[in-house]
Amino acid sequence: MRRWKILYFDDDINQIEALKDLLADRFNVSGTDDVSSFERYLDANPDLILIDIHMPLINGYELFYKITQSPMYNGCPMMFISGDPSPENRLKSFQVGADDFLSRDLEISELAARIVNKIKLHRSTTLKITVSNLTLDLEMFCVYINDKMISLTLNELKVLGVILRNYPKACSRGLVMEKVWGAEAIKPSTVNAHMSSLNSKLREWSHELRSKKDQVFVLPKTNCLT
Amino acid sequence: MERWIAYIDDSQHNLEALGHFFSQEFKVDCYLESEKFLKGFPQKQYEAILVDLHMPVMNGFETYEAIVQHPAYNGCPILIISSDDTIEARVRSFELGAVDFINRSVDIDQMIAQINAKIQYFRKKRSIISFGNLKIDQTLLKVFLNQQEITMTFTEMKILSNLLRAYPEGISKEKMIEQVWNDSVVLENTIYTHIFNLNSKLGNWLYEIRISKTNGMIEVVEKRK
Repeated sequence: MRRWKILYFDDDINQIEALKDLLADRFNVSGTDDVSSFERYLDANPDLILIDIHMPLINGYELFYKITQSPMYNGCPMMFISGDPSPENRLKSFQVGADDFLSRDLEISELAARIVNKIKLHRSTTLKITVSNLTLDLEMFCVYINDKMISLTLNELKVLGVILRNYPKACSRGLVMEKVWGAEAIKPSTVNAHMSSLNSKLREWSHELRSKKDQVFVLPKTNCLT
Repeated sequence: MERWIAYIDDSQHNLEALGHFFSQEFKVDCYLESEKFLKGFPQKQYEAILVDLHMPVMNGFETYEAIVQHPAYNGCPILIISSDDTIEARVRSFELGAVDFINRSVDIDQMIAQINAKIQYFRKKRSIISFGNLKIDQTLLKVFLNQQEITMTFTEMKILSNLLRAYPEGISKEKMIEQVWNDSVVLENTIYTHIFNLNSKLGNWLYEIRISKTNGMIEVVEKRK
């Protein structure tokens, strides 16, 4: 199962290593002290970005701004982390638009809970969801694969939205039925029909929708079986 | 602009003291019981809801879940407030999905700053648009009128959300064709038909879609009594 990916910028490589160890069982932390070439790291499509505030070359706020301006930035939540939890630092963090401020002396359970909280909030409210080379844009009512627009029907968009919002977790067919059709009585096979029409429209996606028993998965395509 | 928040706490003393402080910044509705709040809920568009953690009948966590599942919930930030600032209480709050945890013993300016930060943050993130008695959930692509789901065609859904996003400005017919039909050839009458259908589906809405007589713009306006 895929774990949440955190990208961490800090001028002190020891801090990065320490956090990597502390969060190792729940998150996949990668980081760098080479802040000036931050754009290269955005490629990894992180679920959350963590930024140290006090850094000698570029301070955290500047880096934050640069990331938001970068075409490589995927819109994921960003948080500041600092050993100095002064009211000024907190206030400034929220003013520039960060999703949260983490003090280094937080207990690890709270740190993890805050991170997951923001990732989930982002997942549940965002209107743009990217999985590999596919982006679902609910504001524009369409899907892009490798920047090429693909039109879907309203129900296909709804089905894909519910499934991708749960990714990387599997989601039950019951959940799809409830979120898309609500009180309407439909057969579980209707969900399958939508999934297969989605798969055929999204042929150039690196992933595909699969169902097993009552669960729906998003899986990378494998060439061996086809 | 008036900004309403709701504050639920089982202590009359807290409600009065904090309610008084909060009222310097917000309009505050105070509730002694969660049940009462959940009943009165549909009346107002709150910007934030504060929920006390330790309450006898429904505690803060239960209240949180009931609010989130309530059909009239507008997606505003919900904050847990408590003087029980323990690591367990904080972690549980964040795990549930509360947007923040307010320690009731910090000073009032800091609390207000915390609430304001969350309100602004949510304005940007908002994916549920409330418009009088109409609500659009953009994450699920669903429309509710007086809490009842209204079935929309794809085209109607696109027209409506484009109009609400542009509000209070209107949208020209040309722009509408571009945004909804991707520039394919569409007769003007087709647009009128869709708008007519939308207005009849949304007959109980406090607003309606009109085509301006002066400049031909398509716009959302309050219904005349």
